[in-house]
Amino acid sequence: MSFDVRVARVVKRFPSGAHVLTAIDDLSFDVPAGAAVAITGPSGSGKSTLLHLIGALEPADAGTITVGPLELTTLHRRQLPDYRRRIGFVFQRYHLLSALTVLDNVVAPTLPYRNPRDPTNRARELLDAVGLAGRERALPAELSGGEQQRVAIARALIGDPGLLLADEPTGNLGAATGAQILDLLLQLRRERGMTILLATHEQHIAARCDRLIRLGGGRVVEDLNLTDGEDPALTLRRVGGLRL
Amino acid sequence: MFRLIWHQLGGHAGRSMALLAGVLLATTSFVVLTGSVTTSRLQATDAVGQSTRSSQHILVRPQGSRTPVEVARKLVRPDGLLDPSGGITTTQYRQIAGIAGVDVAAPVAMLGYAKTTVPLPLDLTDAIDRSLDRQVIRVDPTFVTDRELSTARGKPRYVYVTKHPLIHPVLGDRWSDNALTYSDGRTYASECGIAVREVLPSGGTEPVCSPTWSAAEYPSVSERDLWRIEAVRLLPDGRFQPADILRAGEAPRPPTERLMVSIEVTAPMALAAVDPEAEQRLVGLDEAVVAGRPLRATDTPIDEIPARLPIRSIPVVATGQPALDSVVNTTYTRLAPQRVTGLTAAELDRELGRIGGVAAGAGRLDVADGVRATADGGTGAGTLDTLVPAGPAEYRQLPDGGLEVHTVRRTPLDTVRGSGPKPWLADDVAFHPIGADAVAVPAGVSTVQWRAVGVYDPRRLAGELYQPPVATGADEVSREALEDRRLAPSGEPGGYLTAPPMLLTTLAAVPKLLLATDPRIAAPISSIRVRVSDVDGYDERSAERVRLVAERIAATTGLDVDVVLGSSPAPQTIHLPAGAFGRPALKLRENWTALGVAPVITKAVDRKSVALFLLVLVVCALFLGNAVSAAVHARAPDLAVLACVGWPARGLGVLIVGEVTAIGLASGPLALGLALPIAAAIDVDVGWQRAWLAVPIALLLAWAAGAAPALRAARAHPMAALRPPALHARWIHRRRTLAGLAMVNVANRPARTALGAGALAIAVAALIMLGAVGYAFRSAIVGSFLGEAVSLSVRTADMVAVAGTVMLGVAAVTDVLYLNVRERAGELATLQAMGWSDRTLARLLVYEGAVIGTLGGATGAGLGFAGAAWFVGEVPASLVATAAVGGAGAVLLSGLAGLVHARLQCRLPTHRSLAKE
Repeated sequence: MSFDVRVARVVKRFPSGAHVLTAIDDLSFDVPAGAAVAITGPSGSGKSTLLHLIGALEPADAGTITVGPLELTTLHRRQLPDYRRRIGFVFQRYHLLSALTVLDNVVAPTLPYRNPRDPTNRARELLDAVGLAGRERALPAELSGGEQQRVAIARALIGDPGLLLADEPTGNLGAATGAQILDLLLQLRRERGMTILLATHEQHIAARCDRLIRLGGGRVVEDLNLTDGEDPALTLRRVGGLRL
Repeated sequence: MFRLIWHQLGGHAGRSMALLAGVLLATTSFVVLTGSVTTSRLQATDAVGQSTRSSQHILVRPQGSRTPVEVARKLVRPDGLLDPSGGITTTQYRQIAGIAGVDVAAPVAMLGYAKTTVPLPLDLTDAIDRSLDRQVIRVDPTFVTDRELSTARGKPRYVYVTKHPLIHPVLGDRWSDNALTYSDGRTYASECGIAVREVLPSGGTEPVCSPTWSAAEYPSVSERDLWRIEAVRLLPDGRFQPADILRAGEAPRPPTERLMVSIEVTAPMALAAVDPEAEQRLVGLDEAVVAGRPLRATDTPIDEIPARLPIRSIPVVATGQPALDSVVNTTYTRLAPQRVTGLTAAELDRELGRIGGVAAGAGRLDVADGVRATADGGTGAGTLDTLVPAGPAEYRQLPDGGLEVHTVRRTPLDTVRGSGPKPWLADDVAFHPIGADAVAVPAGVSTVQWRAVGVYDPRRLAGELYQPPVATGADEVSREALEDRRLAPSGEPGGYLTAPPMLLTTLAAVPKLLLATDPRIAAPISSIRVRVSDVDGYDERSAERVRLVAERIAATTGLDVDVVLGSSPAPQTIHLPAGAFGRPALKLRENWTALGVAPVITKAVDRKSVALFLLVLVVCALFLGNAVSAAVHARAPDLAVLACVGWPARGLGVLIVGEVTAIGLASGPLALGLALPIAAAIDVDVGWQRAWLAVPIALLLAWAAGAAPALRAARAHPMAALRPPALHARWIHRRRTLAGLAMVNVANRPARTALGAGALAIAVAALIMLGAVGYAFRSAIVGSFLGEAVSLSVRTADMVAVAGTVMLGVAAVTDVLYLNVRERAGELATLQAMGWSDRTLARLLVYEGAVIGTLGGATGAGLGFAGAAWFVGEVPASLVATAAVGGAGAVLLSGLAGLVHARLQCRLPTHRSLAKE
């Protein structure tokens, strides 16, 4: 099951010394269920903040965000953990728990809850799916950046999320590794039918999504549909002509 | 979850060990420190109990006998038991003895001072030049008392030693100075009263004339001015034959190898009447008798009517250890006068005073030895033709708390008493008013005397009645004057220090001893010491029991009743005016009896124990809280990640509680294992119940301490925990300097700063509070020997509590420092990678430490100072100093911690730290 996402007139500000920095400024867009959307824009354009707001990791100052049947701004704080376990979040800096093994990191989100099935098997399947079979007992410090990101993706998928939010999932990786990660995400989307919102500033990553939303100064400056039957090479060129 | 907890603990081994060490230290400290507090309380209670294990619990005195100073200061003066004016009837005594709860009631009636003449023997053998036909040994006496501060030279005494025969008068029932019969059987007309005569080579005789005084004028002559000349024959065989004046039928003394003469001095001997049976039960008087026999209740005056001199004898037991500081120093000079015999006393005095001589030795005569000799092992007797009563001294309270003794103007009647000469100290400054004479001499009795039936050793008797007063120099001048010795009673009734009784007779003797008109016949008793049954040392039950009995006595008799259970010697500063014989004005520290000391001390001990216990509890709890907070704070990013992936607050709480529980369970047995040998090593009693209780309490505290950061991590929107701090301390200027950067670092990491400063604040506040608790305790118990004894007894345990608490504070700082090193390793490694030298890094960290130290020190000093002021009720200078030292120490300590931090950081490989970052 995948979630649609509706962002309506959302505002997010941060205090910055004596000033207030507006990270998201009256932002609105809709994403249908099952879509893969690239959120692009220069540094400071609000990409990460947008994903944090949709992931309920931070509250919006104004506007509404609706994910599937849930309107996030109306959720009580006690409902937020349940929402978070039903979506997946991949951080740019992985944020793995350094003391835990790869397997334990993947299982970690399920631990506070009663699970009808043993989540360990599911975690092994996911690690297999992300190409880390056999590395279950390794510690994060023993993995490369790409491998750590794969663990983070597996962890994000352990709850069979209807929405996957990925913040620069390939930002710290080489081109080849980044491509592999993206392949993995798109493959998982196909298999599980989840919605993906992916923040990136890499052209070749954005070009492989269904849609591209470019942010600037916290607002949508361009919203492109990339699935109109266009040749991927052409799409890449077209996207490349844009200033991501 | 268990697996996760286990991995978390194992994966962050250093952090886990730090937390384990923190919990271990807190729990161990709690067990040991609370043990030391409990031990301190027990020691204090024991000290109070032992010090107050007295034979007497209540002191009953005549109504209105308390002096103003006693009332104002809740004291009993050293001579408070010995008021010679009496005031308690024997009926009242019997009433008191019959009151329920009274085990023993022992009365004492101070009757006054007997002016007993005491001979002090001199050995002049070595002063003699055996080649001389005639010679005179001049003995120059100097009367000394007050530790040699009061001295008076007396007129010389002379011993005439001749190789010529001496004849002496033999007195019949009646005699006349005009016709005295001598030992040669002939009768001579006396030129100078009853005198020994020397047989001259011509066959004639000449008298050796001593001065004479009439019976009327003799008591007004000071013993300083008495002089006489004794005649001794040096026999051809080298022995000495004294020439005594004998009664008919008396045999002369045999010749002796040694030339022994004596100087007679007056020794005022305090006479008191007691109930021997009560005294035996109260203090064991019978067991203290070392010669003769004990006094019996049936001992009453006996009128002995020998042929010529009817005498009334008062039975007494005499002290074997007179508390007298009275000495006669003597120097001997050998004279070779032209003529001795045949001169009048006045001519002889002039002649012997005119010529020079040869120094022939010196001696020191202790009047106490003479008193002992007079008692003669329980068979001796002494004059009792007068009893001089001396009332209580009066004082003026000085602004500095000292007491100035009033001097008393003497009248001739005060000093001219009895048949003997006037004691030399009767001319000294007096402090006790002298009352009327009191001895009844019945018709037909020529003399009243005391006759010893036994000798007791007062050192074997407990209780103030038998102990000499204790007075030492209170300032440097007085200590120097007294040569660091105690001032002791001179024996003079008007002198400041009152000696304990030297003679004890029975209450039954009093009616026959005092004049019928004496008001003391009806109420002779000065005080009654009461022992309450089933009381042994001070405790609450005993105190209540004694209080009830005291109330019953007061209600029944209307007398002044003081509870002396729980009393203690309490030094008072006495300003003693200068004497007439050279003693300078002295500042003395004299032990009086402070009433109600034990309850005050017990309350102070309890209050201190509670305060220390709470302080230890708070410091341990804060330390534990700080350690757990620091440990959990360091895990905030991990917790935030878990929150981001959907962990509810409950789950995070379980995780933290699980980790803390695991640490707590591991540290509990370890803490007990550590606490027991430590406590044994420092002689602290650790209660098992408290020791076991410490583990769950530590767990609860750890949970409570971990809950706050866990909940913070599980806040509704956890992203903030993952984002670098966004605070900007714009108020800090010169941020581009090292100091500015340090300020920014401190300001932008409020949680870390709070932990470090909090740890220091705990240490400083604890130090000040400990000082306050100690100050309050000392203030409450100061001023009495019991207080000083208790203070001494608890010093070690208190020092353990203080040292342990301060060390805990230091450990808190160290713990936070260690976690800081781990947390900031990456950040500092970045600075190193940028080219910062170790020295620059150290300076930055020292600055940061100093800033945190200032914050913590000031906060701790403020909190500690406020708490201390509240606890003590005032702001003593010592606490201000402690606060200042504590605050400065905190800055120094945290600066030092920064330096250590820098050294540890420099030892870490930069690349590893960077990799972690």
